[in-house]
Amino acid sequence: MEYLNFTCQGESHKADNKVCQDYSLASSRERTTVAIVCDGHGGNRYFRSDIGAKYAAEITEESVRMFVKNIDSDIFRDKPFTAVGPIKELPEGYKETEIDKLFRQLFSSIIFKWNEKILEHAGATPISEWETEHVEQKYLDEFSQQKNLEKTYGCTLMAFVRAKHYWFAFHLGDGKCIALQKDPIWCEPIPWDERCFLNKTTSLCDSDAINEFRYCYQGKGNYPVAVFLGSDGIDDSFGETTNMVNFYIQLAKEIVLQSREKAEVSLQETLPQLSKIGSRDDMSVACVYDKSDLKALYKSLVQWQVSNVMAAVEDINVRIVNLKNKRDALQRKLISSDKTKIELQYAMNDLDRAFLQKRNLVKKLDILLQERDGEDFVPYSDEIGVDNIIEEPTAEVIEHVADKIDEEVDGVTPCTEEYSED
Amino acid sequence: MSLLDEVVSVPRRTMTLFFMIDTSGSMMGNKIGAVNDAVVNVLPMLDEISETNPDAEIKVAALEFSNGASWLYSEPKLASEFVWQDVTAGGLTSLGEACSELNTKLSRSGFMQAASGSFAPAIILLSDGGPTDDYKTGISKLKNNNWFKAAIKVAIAIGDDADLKVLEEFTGSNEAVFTVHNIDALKQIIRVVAVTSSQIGSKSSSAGDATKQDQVVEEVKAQIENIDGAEAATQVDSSSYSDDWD
Repeated sequence: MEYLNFTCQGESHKADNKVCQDYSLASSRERTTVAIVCDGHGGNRYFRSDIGAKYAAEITEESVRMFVKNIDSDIFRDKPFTAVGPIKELPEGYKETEIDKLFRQLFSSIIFKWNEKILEHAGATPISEWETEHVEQKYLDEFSQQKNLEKTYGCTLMAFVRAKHYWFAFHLGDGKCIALQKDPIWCEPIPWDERCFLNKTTSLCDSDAINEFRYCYQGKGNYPVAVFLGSDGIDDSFGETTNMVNFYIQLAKEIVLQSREKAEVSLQETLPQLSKIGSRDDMSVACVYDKSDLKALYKSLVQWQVSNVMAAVEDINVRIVNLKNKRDALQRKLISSDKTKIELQYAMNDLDRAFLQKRNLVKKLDILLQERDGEDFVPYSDEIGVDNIIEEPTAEVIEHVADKIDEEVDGVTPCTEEYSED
Repeated sequence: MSLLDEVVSVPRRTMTLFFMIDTSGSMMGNKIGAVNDAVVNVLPMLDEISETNPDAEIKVAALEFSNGASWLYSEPKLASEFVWQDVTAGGLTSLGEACSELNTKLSRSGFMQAASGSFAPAIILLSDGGPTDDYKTGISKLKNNNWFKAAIKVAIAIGDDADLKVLEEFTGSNEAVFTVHNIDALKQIIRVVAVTSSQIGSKSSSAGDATKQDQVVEEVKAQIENIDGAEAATQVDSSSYSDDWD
């Protein structure tokens, strides 16, 4: 198994002269590979969250390695893919299994050790000059009285562990875990927690943190081909999850076509750029993958990208046809009111913008088609075209796009058990 | 090699500013004229905030309510492109229906995009009276809406007849309700609230530990001290102002 990880300071933190509050790590030994991402909370109240994130990652690594070493791996034997949401969202009458109990012990141990470690750090590290200058007095007073220390160091936690006979992953807070696999090509294996919304997140510093963990596991000997953990800085940069999956596929392709080292360098170059043009937050990615399986999946990954852009082209075609119809209907109307004039102007502007979007999409599509088809590559074209010319599409095209008008496209693909064989 | 080549999309983050405007009969005349005038004038300012903000772009949506509730446009428009169409007054005050309509649009199938990559919206409610429909049902729907819960919510009470309790119920705090008593104050407060909400709402980093809503309220409070005829709703009982809408 191979792995890589990288963390960089966010653009907004550079501007505010704040440290990077993310922490990531990945390692592999004794046939167990681990990837972890922790994101320290922003905001004055959490003024040592960078330390909290580092400790959380290190303690989690140590704890999961102990877990793998000490438990009887038979407990996972032949267990199908199982995902467990936060306690609050479990169905009434849910019966805790032996595995659930083991995970609760693991989470409880992580929380306990993390609290011990931050207490030790707080005792050994007095308030610094920077903290005196930048942190509100009420928080410094609380810190001095050792009140709510866990808030001072608050962070999220996400981990993936691949052991010899099984794998598991768990998450507390925001950020996203994406698995690449055979079919469907990607999924989010760990259940989401609806409390993580916009800038709100659950946290290791919550009083009920033990009940906020969600997790998944499988012991049938099937493994995801690659798993990517990304902090919310990554997530927020891409908006739609499919954009983020597309990014991870580019990274996976770099691993296959180049090498782990080159992929790592690319990641180091890319994440600061992404922070600049995206969320401006700290950025972390940690990844575990099987290179030979990834190689075998390569064509399917490119095909997914092609289909993804193709679907976007079809959606934009629908929009173009709708906007053309709207524009034509408004043009046929006697322009008697300001409202009609404004609506017409909007339709025309939106149409120009839709064609621009389509040109960009077709450019992407051609790159991917070239990658997929090699010498047999034929540039994409359709009857709607990429220019805003007053030409009516054929009845066939109109019918095709009309069929798509009411289709809902959901960004999240459900997870299945179809992982590749180890 | 950067992984952000031509194949990867990084969309700009978005914040949507909602105007909810009471266009009932009592708004007729100078009040509605002032609202139209103020919104037209504030749009270029919002565009400037959007253009100079590296964190997010600002979109605008407007909902008017009287006998029913209707959107000025079927989707939020970029602040730079929003063309204000003057609203006219007449009819009842269907705030409940407006809240239900807002609730529908505060969703992925409505006006909002993925939560990742979005900022919480800012919602400005303007009203000069009390609701004439079942507003409680509408507000209770909103109170369960995650986007609404996270939103910056500010209400502007236009004159002494505005139902402050209802506006407070909408914003969730009496601190976020501001009262105006004359045309000039109305115009100025629309500008102050819209600009402040957009500035604070579209920033990814926040100062201190206060919520964005609290920051907006504090900033607006500070600015209305210089507006003759405007006050925080909490000061209305001891107000020295009387309504003057001529």
